[in-house]
Amino acid sequence: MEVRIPRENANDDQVLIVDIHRSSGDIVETGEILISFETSKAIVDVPSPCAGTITYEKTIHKDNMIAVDEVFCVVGESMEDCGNNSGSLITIPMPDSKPLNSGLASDELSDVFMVSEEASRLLKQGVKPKRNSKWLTSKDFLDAEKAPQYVHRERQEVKAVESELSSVTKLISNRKKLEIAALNKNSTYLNSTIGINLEVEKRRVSNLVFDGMILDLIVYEASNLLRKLYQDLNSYYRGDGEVGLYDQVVPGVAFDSVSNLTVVSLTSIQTLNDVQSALCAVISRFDENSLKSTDLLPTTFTVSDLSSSDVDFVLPLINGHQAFILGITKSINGFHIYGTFDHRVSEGKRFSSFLAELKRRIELYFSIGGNSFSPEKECFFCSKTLSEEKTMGNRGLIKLDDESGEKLICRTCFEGW
Amino acid sequence: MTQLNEIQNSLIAQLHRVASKKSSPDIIEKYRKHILQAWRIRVVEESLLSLFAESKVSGTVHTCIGQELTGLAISDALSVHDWITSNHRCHGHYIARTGDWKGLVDELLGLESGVSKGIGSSQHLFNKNFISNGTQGSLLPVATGVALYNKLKNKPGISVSFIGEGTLGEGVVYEAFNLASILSSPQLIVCENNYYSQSTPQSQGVSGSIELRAKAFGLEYFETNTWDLDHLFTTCRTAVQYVSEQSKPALIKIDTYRLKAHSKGDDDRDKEEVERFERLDLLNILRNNLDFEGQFKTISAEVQDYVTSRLSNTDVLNYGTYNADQLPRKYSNKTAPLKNPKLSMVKALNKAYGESLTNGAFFIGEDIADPYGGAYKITKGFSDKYPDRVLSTSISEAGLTGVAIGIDLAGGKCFAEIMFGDFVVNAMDQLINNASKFHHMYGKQFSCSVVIRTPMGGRRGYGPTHSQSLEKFLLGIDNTAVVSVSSLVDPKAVIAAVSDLKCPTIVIENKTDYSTFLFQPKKELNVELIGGAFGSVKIKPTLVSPEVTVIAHGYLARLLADNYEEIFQKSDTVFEIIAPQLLHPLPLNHFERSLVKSNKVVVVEESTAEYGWADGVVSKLVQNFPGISAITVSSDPVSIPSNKALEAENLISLHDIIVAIKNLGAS
Repeated sequence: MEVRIPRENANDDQVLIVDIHRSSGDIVETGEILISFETSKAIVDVPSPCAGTITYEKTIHKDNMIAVDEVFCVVGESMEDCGNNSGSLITIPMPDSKPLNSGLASDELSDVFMVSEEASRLLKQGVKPKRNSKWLTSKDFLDAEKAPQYVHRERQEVKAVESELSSVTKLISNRKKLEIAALNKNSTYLNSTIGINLEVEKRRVSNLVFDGMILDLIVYEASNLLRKLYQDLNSYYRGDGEVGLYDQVVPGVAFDSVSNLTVVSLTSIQTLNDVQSALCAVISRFDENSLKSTDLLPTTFTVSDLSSSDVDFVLPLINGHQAFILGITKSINGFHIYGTFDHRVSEGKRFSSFLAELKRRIELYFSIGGNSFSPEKECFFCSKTLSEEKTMGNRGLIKLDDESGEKLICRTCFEGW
Repeated sequence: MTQLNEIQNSLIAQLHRVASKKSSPDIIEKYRKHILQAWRIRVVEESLLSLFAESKVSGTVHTCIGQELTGLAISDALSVHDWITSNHRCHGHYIARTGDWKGLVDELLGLESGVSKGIGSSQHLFNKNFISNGTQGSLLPVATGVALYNKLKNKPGISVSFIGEGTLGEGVVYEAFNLASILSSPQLIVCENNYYSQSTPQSQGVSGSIELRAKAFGLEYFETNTWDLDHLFTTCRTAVQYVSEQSKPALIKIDTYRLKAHSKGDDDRDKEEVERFERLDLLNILRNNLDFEGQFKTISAEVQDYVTSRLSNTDVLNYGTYNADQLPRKYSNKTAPLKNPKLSMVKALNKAYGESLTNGAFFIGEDIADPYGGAYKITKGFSDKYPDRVLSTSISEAGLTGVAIGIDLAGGKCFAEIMFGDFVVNAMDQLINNASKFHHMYGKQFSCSVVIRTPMGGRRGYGPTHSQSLEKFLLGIDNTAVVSVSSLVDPKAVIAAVSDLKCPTIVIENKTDYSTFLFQPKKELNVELIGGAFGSVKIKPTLVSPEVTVIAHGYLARLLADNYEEIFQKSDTVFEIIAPQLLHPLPLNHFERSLVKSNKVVVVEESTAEYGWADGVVSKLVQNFPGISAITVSSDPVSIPSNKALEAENLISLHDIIVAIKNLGAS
């Protein structure tokens, strides 16, 4: 049976091998720990899925990196069951063996360096060990799993939630298939990046966390667009001519510390207030290294905000099963938004239209004359925002005053459904 | 009436005659400035007594009422470079030297604006080159070190140490006399002889002659009193000049009389006797003198107004900024393969300490100078290279430790050797009441980074008082780090790191380990250093996970490493050794990875069982890694026999460790 490096969290595509417990040719029991590796969050043990002889697929060393999902060994009934056709079973280099101090024949257990007195006594009685170990003890002769019982201690409590977002399959058109085939001829990289500039002045906000930023606005307005007008971009390429359309919009925000890139998910966000509150909370948890598992749910699109650094260009890479990613940088007169999209899912024109609409909506928050546009203005009844109302061709929200006080209402709700 | 009472009465009668000599008006006018300052000191002291009586301050105070002029006469003769060490009755000395009476008042009120930020209160004052401590005599050798450092560095500044005659009962006083004389330290000891130590008359507390004590140690001797103004100031100046110009120690005895209780209400002296001296007191006489009355009243009002104004102040030091210590508490977890040079441990230590010596450090200890080079030759070659900075002393553990602290206080870095770890108990007062306290009790105004190094351990047949491992008495002393070096790892890095610490550090070496060559890893054992300079050595067999973690330090860790195969064979258990170099504070994260795998730990030490380092380690491990099984193994808690066979039975053995590992591994 193939044994792979498991994925422990959404961010680590490579892990560090910290311990190799069993060697090629060792007979292992089910559950016996084969290797230990270190992720960005914890040390993880990899147990054997079955009993049998272990054969390493490639040379692995302590302190080497190995890719997640890579098959690093096979555990089978015998060496012949390994099914390795590579012809070169390179295993961990063994140090020189010393002569055994037991009554063993030297061709038996040649990998053993030292034998305890108890083990030596058992060998002399003709008992064969269940496991081959460099340091052979009486416990290697037991049927039960050799002590100790390893306790998996995580340095953090965070573990990525393994559930997937549900999606509906959509077949791509033949024209799209031809386009993909044509693109594939010259390159396997099928993404394009489009940039757009937002000419905006300083934003006035009550929450100073967002002073000089537009991350919250991008997340909020992009989510709205994906829900209503650009559902096709809330998707990912599945392969074999299939695109998966997600049935919910879950924005992800990329946080980058010196040693760790994490994409956190923002869920249950309906209003801009919700987005701001969620961002503040998750920023705080990220800084304190106390992200929760619910912060690491799968996302449908990602935003990466580099506007606090001095860069003015970024070519963001699409994150996992998504159709696009947005990167934000500062520009001389406001911000740049760089969007990378997957050609297999969308078209340049379509994505450009999405960016243009996003830009228009963001710019409404920076209305001319220093008049700060209040993002909280929305219809009290249906939560349609002022910008959405205007998109529909209406002049604005109507101020309604009744016994419960003053509020805003859109035309549709005012006139009745 | 007992003979001692008769003697005391005779002494008091003699003192009374001396006190009856009045100073002429010319003399009084000559010293007007000092008399006014003496009045200020008295008013401050009386205000403080009132505050205590009204329960507006708590704690204790030892006023110098009646003795104000001693501090003034001495301070008048000093330069700005000179140091003063004082004692529990330090207020007058402090005000005389610094003029900071307001800081003193604030200090007793516990305010952050106080001399020691409200931490030290009455007895623990520090201001630039004035330091006081409440333990009798403990600052004497410190002052010896301060003056010696200045002299060796050709810097100006003598040290002056105030003691009472009662302090002459403390042994460390004579160690300081001896060291000051031998090392020719420019130190002036001022003995304020007020004829009573708390409630004990001098006749019952001080035998023989104070003068002969000083002369027995080769100290120049001066004598005066606080009633003959001109003689007092002149003699003090002469004494200070002698010490400064001759660069030799001296003692000046100043006869005086305290008019108030030892502290607050504890005064069972004869009332009539006290009243007689009150009538002879110069300030009491001048109280109603028209020439002084007005100024006295002004000073009284100023002091009273200030004290009243401060009563409502509640600005105390934030505890959160106070309680952080200076110990190395940040430990890296990074591992690196361990490579040692081919050196014996004694040579490796010689090299490591030699680096500090080259960088300007002082070394002090018994017999450490060349050609002897120390009992274990760790300092061989040092004094040949730097004779001024390698001080071989008499057998005075407390004294030499105090001198080391004084050198540090004056700006140097000093390594003090205690020849055998068993003798470190002689230096405990210096360690616990001086070095470890200095940083915090003076409101964090300075740091004491003295290093005390000492070899512990038996297995040489040296017997009960030369074979002990006394780490348990040195662990957990506030703000004091404890490091254990062993031949498992070249001590160069840890000694360099110790040299950089700001807190006092005790370095524990091992006699048996001195002759061992630095550990050379065997192929089948993986040897790593976790955490850099203060790192822990990890030894584990390759390609197999440990069933048991074994924690040991010093020579015992080396013993385990050398005998790994034998222990494995006999215990039938694969184990991993982790040998921390930092005993206090304990780097818990160095054990984490091993304990995650094994969940079982044996902690071993050569010290005796119960309340030792091993117990402390287990306590911390169990609290931080719930669910682990832990046992300790140590030596028997009885005196270590000299007979080698019996010593081997007494001390922890490999067999004891094998049994422990085997049992835990099988559980």
